[in-house]
Amino acid sequence: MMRRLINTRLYATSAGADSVKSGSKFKRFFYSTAALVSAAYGGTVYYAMCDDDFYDKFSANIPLCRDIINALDTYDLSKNEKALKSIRDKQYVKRESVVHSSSINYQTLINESSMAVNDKLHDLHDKVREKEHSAEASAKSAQKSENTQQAQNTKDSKSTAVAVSSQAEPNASLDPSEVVNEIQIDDVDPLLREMGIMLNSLLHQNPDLKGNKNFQQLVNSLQTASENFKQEKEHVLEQFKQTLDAELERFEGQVNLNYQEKKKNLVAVYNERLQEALNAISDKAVISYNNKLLQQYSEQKAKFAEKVAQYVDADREGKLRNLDKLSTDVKSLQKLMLQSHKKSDSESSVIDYLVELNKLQQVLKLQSSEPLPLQKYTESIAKARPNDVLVQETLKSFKESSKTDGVLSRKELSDRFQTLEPEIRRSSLVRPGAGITGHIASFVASQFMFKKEGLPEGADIESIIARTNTYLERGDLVRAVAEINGLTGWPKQLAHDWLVEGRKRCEAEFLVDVLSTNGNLLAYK
Amino acid sequence: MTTPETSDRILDDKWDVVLSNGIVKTSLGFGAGVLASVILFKRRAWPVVFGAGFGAGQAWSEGDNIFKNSYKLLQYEDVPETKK
Repeated sequence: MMRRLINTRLYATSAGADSVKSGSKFKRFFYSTAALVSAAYGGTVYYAMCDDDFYDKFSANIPLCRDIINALDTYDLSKNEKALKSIRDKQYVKRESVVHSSSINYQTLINESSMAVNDKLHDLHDKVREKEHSAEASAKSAQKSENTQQAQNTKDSKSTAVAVSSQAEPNASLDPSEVVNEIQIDDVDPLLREMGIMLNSLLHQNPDLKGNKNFQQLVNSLQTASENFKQEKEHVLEQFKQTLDAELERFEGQVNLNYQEKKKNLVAVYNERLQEALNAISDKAVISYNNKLLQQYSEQKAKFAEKVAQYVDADREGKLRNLDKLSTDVKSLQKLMLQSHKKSDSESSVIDYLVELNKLQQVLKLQSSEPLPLQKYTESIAKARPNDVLVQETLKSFKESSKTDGVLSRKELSDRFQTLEPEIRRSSLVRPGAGITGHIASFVASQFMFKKEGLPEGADIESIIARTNTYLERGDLVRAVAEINGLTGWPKQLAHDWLVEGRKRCEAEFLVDVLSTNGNLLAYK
Repeated sequence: MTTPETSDRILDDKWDVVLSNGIVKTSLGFGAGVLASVILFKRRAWPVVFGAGFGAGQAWSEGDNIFKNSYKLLQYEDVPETKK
């Protein structure tokens, strides 16, 4: 029991492993095939983009390649345009950053100079305060000594004032034009302007500073610095602007040159490909029109051949059907000849004629497997009755192939039809222009067809075969040939040779009958 | 393509050509599959089946064309003369 269970599980496991293995094999095969095909297709597309000659063949034979290559070219062009735009944007940003950094540098210089000026201002302010304090102290001491020195008050006060003024304003004897007024600083940095405002406020607070020479120098230096700064800034900015303009112009020229060259190359490539596409389309159109012309020519030729075949068939069928009428005409002709015939022919010629005619009849009655040529016998008959118009015309009516190649015997025709019959039956269900499948299907389906016998009615293949067999058994070759002539499609193609041989045999027998009738009439006379 | 002896042998001759072509093409595909299997695919079975199927399919396609074109040619051209 245990062993049976183990065996069952083992078999189940191995079967599952086999199914998984076969599934993985199929997946591996599928993925490897897809990868190989994708790699080959991609490589071919890449090579077609590089080689224009290969592109023509490739685009003519491989589907979707033209669309893919056009899409890749369009993507490349858009990528180049984006790169050019980004380069322009980068240059613009760079220019702005350079301007900004230069402004920052100037701002730093201005800050440094303003800080230096502020320091000087603070020093000056401290000095002024110290001088004011010293002036107040000297004034207090002067008031204390005013009571004691009343007489020298005016003179002393004048000298004190001069001393104070000389201490407070060392340059009291300055020219009025050099007296400091409010500082006028326009169009400079806000820090310098603020510094000017500060100096002005300081001047308002301490009007004594107007005559101070140091203050005057400080103001002058500030104004000079601001003007120098302004000029230097304008000069540097002008130089920088010129440099940037030159650089920008040079870069734009280079970019434009590259862009024009790239554009020119792309336009040339596109024009070339467009020309090739137009050439391919025109070639295709020419080939298409040529094919249409050939098709029309072949259709017309087929129609012509069909008409000729119909005409020939109708003519032959007419001949076969009008045998009785022709026989009647010949008989009437014989009667006329009998009436107008003069007894100039010797009896020997008639005997020769009948002997040769008998030989011909015997040859036709032979049941040989190979056809015997009739030319020897027809020439002998013609020699026996050289002046007989009926005989000569009848002998001329023999087909040339009947004279040289001979005609098949009835037995041979019957045997050949027995060989032909299964072939006709097998191909009876094949439609015209069918392939292997149609032939195999017809072969299989024909095995299940019911065979008929006797003289059944109908136009189906079994009825035609049955009627033909019956007529051949009865010796009615003319009707058997007429039945086979009613076939169509592949069966008629297969029976073509038999039909030709049957017609030849019928015509030869009919002509021999005519000659025989003529011989009987000659013998009667 | 050989000329048929008689008209009733036309289809037999076509079948001879089609079958021989099928044998040759299938054998060539089979051989190529065996070579590919041994050299490239570590003696796997699928290249052999693929090659043989490819050859058989090619032979089938050519056989179809032989039958289709032969009927058209028979319509346009004269049927060959009967053997003497």
